[in-house]
Amino acid sequence: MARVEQSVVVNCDPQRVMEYISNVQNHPAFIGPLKSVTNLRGDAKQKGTTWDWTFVMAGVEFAGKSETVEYVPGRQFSFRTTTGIHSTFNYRLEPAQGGSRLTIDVDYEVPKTLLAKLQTSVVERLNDAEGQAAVQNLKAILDT
Amino acid sequence: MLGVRASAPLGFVWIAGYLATTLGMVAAAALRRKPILLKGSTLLALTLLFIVLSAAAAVDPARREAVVPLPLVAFQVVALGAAWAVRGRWLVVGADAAAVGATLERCLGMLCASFERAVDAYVVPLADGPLHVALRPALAGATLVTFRGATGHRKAALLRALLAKQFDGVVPRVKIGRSGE
Repeated sequence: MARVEQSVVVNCDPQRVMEYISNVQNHPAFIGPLKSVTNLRGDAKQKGTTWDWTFVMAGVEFAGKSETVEYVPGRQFSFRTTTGIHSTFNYRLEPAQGGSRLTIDVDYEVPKTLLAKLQTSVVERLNDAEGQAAVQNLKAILDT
Repeated sequence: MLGVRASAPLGFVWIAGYLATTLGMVAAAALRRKPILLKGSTLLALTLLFIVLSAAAAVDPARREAVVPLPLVAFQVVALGAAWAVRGRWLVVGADAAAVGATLERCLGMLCASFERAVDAYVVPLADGPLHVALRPALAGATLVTFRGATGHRKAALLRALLAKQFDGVVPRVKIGRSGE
């Protein structure tokens, strides 16, 4: 199991930050390689809600599906990818310096199939640099 | 010592190749079912490549001279000037200004960015000064998109990137995996 973790302090209250992040259709706005989120079936705050996603890297599109694992208002939003590589994205919030400390961590398994191995790079794309860019993008979007 | 002599036919071949490539991209975009984004920066890169390749081809190392097709040089100057002028503009083929505007408003919402509507533009207030996004009708139902101001602001860069994601490129992508598997 591999892991990527990044955090940033956002000048915005945790409730608002979590409202924004738990709307998964906002994710293409702050995750560079994420092209689209479609077919959201229900409210992403509800456990088991699913959606489809498309990543783009080096001119290649990778598509897959995710589902909500956990949502705690103002504190945590987790979802996992359920096709190809299995990974869990976890967004955590805590009050800090008059705003919120946002931490993103991603756990993913080493895949066994060829397709899943190709999709590994999708999650690996969220490495330190990409993860740092994502949290800085969130800061730019949500800082008040 | 490298000699120089003029040659016209070679120049016309390069000009025809450049025009076929650029006009072919627009034609290919027009034939696609989904809206296609053509960026001025891509045209500039293509034009620079054309100039470098045609200049390299003009040098004949065996005869130690450069064959300079004067019509080609004139065309290169005009093409480079035109490409430089549109380097910051986008052309969305297959979507009119109203459709592009609706997409832009959705992107602004995703970025929590407030905006005001002008006649043919959106004005987005940012810390470094306002970002102006102009949408103007172009030929055949296409839309010309121009960004002005706030070039160094991260939210402005995010808006450009997010809006670009809403449209396909002229070259179809390889797709791996399927949603809903």
